[in-house]
Amino acid sequence: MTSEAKKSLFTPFNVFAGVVLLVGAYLTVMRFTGGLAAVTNLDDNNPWGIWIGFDLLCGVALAAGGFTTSAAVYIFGMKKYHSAVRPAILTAFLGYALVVFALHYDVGRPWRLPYPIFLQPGTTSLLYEVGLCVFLYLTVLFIEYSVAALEWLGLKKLRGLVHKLTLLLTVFGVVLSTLHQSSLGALYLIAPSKLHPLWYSTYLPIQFFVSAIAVGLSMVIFEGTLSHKPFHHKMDATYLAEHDGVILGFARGASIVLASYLAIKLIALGADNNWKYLISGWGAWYLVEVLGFVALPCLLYAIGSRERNIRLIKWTSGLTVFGVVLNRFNVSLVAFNWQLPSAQRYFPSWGEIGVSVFVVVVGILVFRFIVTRMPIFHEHPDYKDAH
Amino acid sequence: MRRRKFLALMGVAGAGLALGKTPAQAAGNAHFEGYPDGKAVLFDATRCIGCRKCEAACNQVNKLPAPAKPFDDLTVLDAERRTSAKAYTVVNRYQPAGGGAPVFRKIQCNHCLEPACASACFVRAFKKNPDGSVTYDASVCVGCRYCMVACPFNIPAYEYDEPLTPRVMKCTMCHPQISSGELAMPGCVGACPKEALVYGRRSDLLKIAHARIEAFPGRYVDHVYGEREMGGTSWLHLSGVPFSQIGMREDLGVTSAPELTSGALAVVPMVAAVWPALLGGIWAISKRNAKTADEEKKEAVKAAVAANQADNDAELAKAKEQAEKDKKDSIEREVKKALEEAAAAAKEEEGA
Amino acid sequence: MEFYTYHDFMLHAKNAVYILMGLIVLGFVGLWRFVTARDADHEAEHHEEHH
Repeated sequence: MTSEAKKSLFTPFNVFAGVVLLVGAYLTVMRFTGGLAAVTNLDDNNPWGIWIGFDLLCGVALAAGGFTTSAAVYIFGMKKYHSAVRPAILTAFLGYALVVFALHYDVGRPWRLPYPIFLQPGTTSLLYEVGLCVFLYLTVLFIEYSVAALEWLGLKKLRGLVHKLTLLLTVFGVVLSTLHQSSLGALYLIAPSKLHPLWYSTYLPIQFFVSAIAVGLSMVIFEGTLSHKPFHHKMDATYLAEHDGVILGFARGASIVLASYLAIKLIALGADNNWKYLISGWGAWYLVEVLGFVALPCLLYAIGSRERNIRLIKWTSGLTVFGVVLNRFNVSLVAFNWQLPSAQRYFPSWGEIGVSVFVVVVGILVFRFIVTRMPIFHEHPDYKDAH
Repeated sequence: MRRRKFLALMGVAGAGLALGKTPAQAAGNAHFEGYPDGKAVLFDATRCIGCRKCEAACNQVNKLPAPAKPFDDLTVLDAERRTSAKAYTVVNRYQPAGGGAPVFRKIQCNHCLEPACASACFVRAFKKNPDGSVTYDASVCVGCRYCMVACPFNIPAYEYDEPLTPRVMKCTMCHPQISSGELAMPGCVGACPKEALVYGRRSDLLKIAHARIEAFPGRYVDHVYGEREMGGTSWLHLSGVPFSQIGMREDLGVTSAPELTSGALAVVPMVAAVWPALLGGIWAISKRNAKTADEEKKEAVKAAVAANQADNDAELAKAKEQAEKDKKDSIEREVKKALEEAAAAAKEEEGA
Repeated sequence: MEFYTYHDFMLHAKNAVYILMGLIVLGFVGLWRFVTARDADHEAEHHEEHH
């Protein structure tokens, strides 16, 4: 620890993060003194921009590693992935916390966010469903994450109590994740006239849910790869030994799930008889998304896991993550309002991009703070094998 | 009669009364007629002259801010406009494809029978009132703007430049003013000099609209827009040119927003009901498999140990046997040797 | 009870369903604890013997 204290605070990343935090503070002031108009390019035809398309839709999808990993270990009994659970839960917890944080910028009156749950529920709305489940799931994730924090704080009794809840929380987490991942897709069911037929489908909910599982598995691989160098000194023998096994196993799972997602997309085309749209500019873009970012990673994951090619799998995880982000962008921003003349289409402002980057950087900083202090990549010596 | 029998009869009567009320109640085959006395407005595009007096009246009645250009400035019609945070209604000018005189259309909230905004709102800020209007409650609105995403007619506007108290802005069909008695009909309807707007019961206005079409078949397109679009609206339109030429989408279909989302909503509780059983079952099976694998492993180890033990025992027994034999042979040899020595010693004694 | 619009019907029905969902999930927890009670006892004994 002493060697770390001697290291300079002004690493390139820290300087970058500092600048982003300052810009974020400035944009926050602008947002709450000048309104959304002062920071965003949103208008009456385009009420949702990247704060919904990226921060909400992608944020929730990319945090799906939490429920998939904990389900694999605690429900399906795959103990060899155990060391991947805590990093995945932390990523998910921070992901959802950041979604809620970002929403405080997007909605007109963020202090009223509790209203739909505690004051006047609009139960006919799929957004109510999203809100309720995100609220409950954030609570579940916090409790699941808190085990590591309690170990760090030395609160043995409380830690033991919380630890006993693991299976219950995992099952509840899968229920809630299924509900809100699919409901985010279901949000767009209400607007068939605004979403291009290649992306609109009554199957949107299951498309979102299945792709969330695929990207959740991929994010565990991706985030594990990104964390490996900077946090290597925090990783214990078990984590390092299981690391490759996690990558191979999750790659195999992801390949199968992506195949399922591909099948669902095909069926959606056929069920609404939308084949004719493939022969168009939009069709070409759709094929780029489906062939390049669903079919291709499915194949690469299959090859990678079969041939035990860790490097190929790592690249494929990045491809899959990008692909799901692309899909969420397509549904919410690109194929949405496709019929509007280009002069009336939306493009994010620098302010919106700034806030989104700010939110992600805050997440990375908190992640770094936690993994360098709490037993996330390693087991706490007082609690070894206590599972 | 006995008290119990009396109460039972009352109960049955009550239940019968509740069940037999209207056909608009069944769950599976749900069909809802809307409020029977709901009002609506009929707009006749063949009568509108684009004078914008309706816009002026709306602005005045709702105390909206003064616009950049006054309402009698008709050059604003050169551009196609939409409703905004400062204008609940706008009139647009359209040039029909076949040439001829320009046609005008007034845009405002259509007060749908099954409003998408009300369906989408997660805090119940929108309400379809018995008088036909769809109104907005700014006191609970969180500002999520999902209503704007949902509205197929792109009507709700938002106060994006309000930092702390932004509201959704849209036509109210003058519900507050009509309810309080201040007005007898919406401000725009009262201001129209050509009776392009008529206010009355929706059912009556539909009859009037169809009667006009029948009376003047060459004048009107044979369709009352809003009769069935998105499940039906309370703002009905007649036009002399195809509706798509006056900026109205003809591809919206007749399915209402609640119907579009009811399927997805129906699945939600099934996850809560089925997943715990399914996941609990998987957990139990995987735990059992792990336990069985564990036990089999233990058995295998035990057997291996036992086999090893048996081998050791056999070897030990063999070695013991060998040792016994060696000992016996050794004793025999010694005895033989001793006897031979004794015999030799005895022979020596005899010889001396 | 009279519903004039599908929206009103849905509101009423979904209110009930969400409340039911909460009760169902709690019910499952209770049932699970009841069904696995003996396992929990056995495990507790097992742990005690080994310590």
